[in-house]
Amino acid sequence: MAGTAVKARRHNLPVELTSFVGRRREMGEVKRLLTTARLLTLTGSAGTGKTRLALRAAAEVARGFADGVWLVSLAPIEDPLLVTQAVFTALGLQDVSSRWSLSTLSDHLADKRVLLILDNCEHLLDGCAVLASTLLKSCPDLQVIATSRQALGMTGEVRMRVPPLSLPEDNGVTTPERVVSFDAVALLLDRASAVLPGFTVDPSNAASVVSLCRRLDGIPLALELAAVRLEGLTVDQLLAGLERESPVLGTGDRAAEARQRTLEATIGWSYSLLDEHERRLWARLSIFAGGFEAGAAVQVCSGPELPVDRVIEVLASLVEKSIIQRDMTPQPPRYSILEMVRQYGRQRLREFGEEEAMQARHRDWILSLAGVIGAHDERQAEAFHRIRSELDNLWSALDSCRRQPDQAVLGAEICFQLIDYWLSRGPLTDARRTLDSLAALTEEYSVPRARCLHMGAMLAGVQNDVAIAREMAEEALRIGHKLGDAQVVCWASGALLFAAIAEGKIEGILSLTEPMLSYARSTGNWYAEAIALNYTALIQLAQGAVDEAVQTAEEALARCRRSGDIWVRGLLLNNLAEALRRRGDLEQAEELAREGAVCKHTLDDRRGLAGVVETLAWVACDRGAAERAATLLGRAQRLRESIAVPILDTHQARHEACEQSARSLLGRAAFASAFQRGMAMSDEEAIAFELEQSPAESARPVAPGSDSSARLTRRELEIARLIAEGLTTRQIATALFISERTVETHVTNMLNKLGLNSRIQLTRWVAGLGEPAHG
Amino acid sequence: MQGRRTCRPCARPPGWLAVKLFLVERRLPTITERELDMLQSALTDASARLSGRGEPVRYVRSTFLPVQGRLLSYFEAMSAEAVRTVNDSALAPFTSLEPAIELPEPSEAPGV
Repeated sequence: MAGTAVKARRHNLPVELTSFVGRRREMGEVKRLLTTARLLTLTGSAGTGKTRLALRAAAEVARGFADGVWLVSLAPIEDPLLVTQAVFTALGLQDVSSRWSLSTLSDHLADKRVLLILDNCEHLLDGCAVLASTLLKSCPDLQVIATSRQALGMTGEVRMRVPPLSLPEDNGVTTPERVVSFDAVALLLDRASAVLPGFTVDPSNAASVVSLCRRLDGIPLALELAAVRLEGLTVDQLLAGLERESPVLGTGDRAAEARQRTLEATIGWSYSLLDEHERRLWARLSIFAGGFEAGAAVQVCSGPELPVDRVIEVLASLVEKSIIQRDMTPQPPRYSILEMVRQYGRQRLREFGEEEAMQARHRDWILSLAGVIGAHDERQAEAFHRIRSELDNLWSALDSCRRQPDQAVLGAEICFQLIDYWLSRGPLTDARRTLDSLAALTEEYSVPRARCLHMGAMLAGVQNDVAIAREMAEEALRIGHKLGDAQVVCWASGALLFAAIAEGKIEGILSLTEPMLSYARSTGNWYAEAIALNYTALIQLAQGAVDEAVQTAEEALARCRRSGDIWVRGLLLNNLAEALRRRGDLEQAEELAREGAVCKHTLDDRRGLAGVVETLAWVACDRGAAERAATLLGRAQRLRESIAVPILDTHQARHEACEQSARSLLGRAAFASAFQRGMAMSDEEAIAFELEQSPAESARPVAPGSDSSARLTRRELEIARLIAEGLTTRQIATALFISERTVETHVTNMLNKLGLNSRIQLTRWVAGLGEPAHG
Repeated sequence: MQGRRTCRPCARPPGWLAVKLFLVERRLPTITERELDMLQSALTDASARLSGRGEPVRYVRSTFLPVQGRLLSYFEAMSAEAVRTVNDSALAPFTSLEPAIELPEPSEAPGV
């Protein structure tokens, strides 16, 4: 759901954790340049505050960008091919099409008024230049701010150098009033006041303050690192410490290279003031890419030299000293390290001789997160959300697996656990690329290579790249047979089935379900069994054996319901709904498709959701609700456009028949109007429309077999089931696109109606209904 | 495999005597003509940028096989690594990169 939420916000600018000081002239200049420049690059040495300036300027001009202002943080990215994905992620988009990612992105932005901030481009200059050039050529209302130590070097680029903060002249005026009018001093004063309330610049310390600011060359990051030390040191002591660290620094008026040395020396000096645990943690935290949560810091960074029970305390200490930033906006809070500070920590990590060990711990941590997705249980929605917030760390871990051939097996295992995530959210092309390179590093006849091949086949099948999908799946199957590995044979057969069904070539393939079912039943693997039964049902349906298909799909759903998994459940619900529609059980089909839509919304699986909405449209069409069908067709069209994935060829004829039927019932104008309504719906309106019919119908109970449930409305019963699945109020609100307060109101009403006192009792009540009425 | 190549000397800048031909393949089953133009432009830009830094690479041309959805792009460069860098910088993933051999035109072939 995160992506949907981001889209609604129209920006992803982070909350400012500290006040913005000075830079009036530069702010004015940036805003002036943005009135004409389509690509503005803010250049300057490390730590001069390019990002901060860009973010503040973007926030001030945001009103002029109807489709939002989006920050793309490139510092954690090492692989240039992931630059496009970073933009997709920032915009809350999903890349699940088979198209070239940059052209998909270009199409999305073509008619939008957007400001992109490409932050920290210096290590990816060529990729950023190609990205900016391609997008600016095809998106006339797009503007880009880039921050980089070097300009991108492309036609049309307007460059603005971001200087250090303004400084008083050496031996110049040092009256306190005059001194604090310079930005560097104002920043030092602001940050020092935060750690030492009452700190001021007065006649007794004005000269020392000026010397300190000049020694630090007016570099904001250096000033911030020094200012927090004023809690325990005087300005003169601080100056003396810096002098010892690097006596040659500090003219206050030097070239970028010299300023870089000043910053490095200041960071080194900050490091020298830390205790052993703080130094160790700083070094170890540098292994993270794109930030981390406290729990991850404990899991990855604790060890003999840093006991597990001290990590949080030491982390807090590093936050106090401005080495680490803490953002309290997300829950749990998220920590980050400025790139320059992270690089310094990485050097220390190498000196400690711990780089490889920390990479291994980091990979193991990512594997543990992926494993939660691979468990296919009630933690799935949270796990999807979690891995999305750790994408930079995920790619970093996979990259380290690709760089170290002996780690390719672990990389394959991470991917194996993540396959459902990638199938629903992508990025499919990048995942395939990763799998290809991991497969190339593993032994020819090995389980890891077979896994990479079968997963690659699944992703290729989703991208409608069926020939390749079949080729890879067949190779995986050969390996499975040669190794005599039932699990490999199971999943390779599944991938072959998937490709064949996608292609509509189902003759003779039913036998491929046998090794899947055999493996599943001999090992008690419900997931494999449900998937095998799902393929069986799809084949039966395609063969016209509708009753058998319904029965098989119900059996699959029953296996799945006990697990807590909602990705497979959404898939199965949709396929069962379609089978029921074909049999003419329209009411039940609609109920199931609605439940499937909730599953897909909960996981923000837009590709899966498009399929469910199409099923809802066909059901509506079959029962003569032409206007609803037309609106749902519009909604499905909008979803498909947003992910750039067309409807499957095998569904095309049915879809067109539905469209024609609705159009002939409504007439052209009314159809177009309803279709357009679906296209224009906000996500919140759409989910309400997908899940509810008319107010009268939505008030009708959906569990007719139970007296007590008959007193609940459809929405209440829906919420009761989500509570029974263990979702929190917030998760339910997110899943259903309603406010937390609305969820609480429904819960209160349900408790009153049912005479219950708590959510636990409500959960037991849902369990007492047996299999939910939908099933 | 060593990339024996026969690209005409006039097609490349002076000093590119040691360049070899490389073939890059990518699968783009649904790519449109407009997207092919965009991709060509990105590959050309990325090649020019790398060449400008003293690493000669030239994007020569591409052939698209619509039935199979395969795009075959030819590059001249001193090394496969340079071609890889160009494609990465163009944000254009590929499935394979191999040295290639361009056969002489029939009229130039010996004995014709």
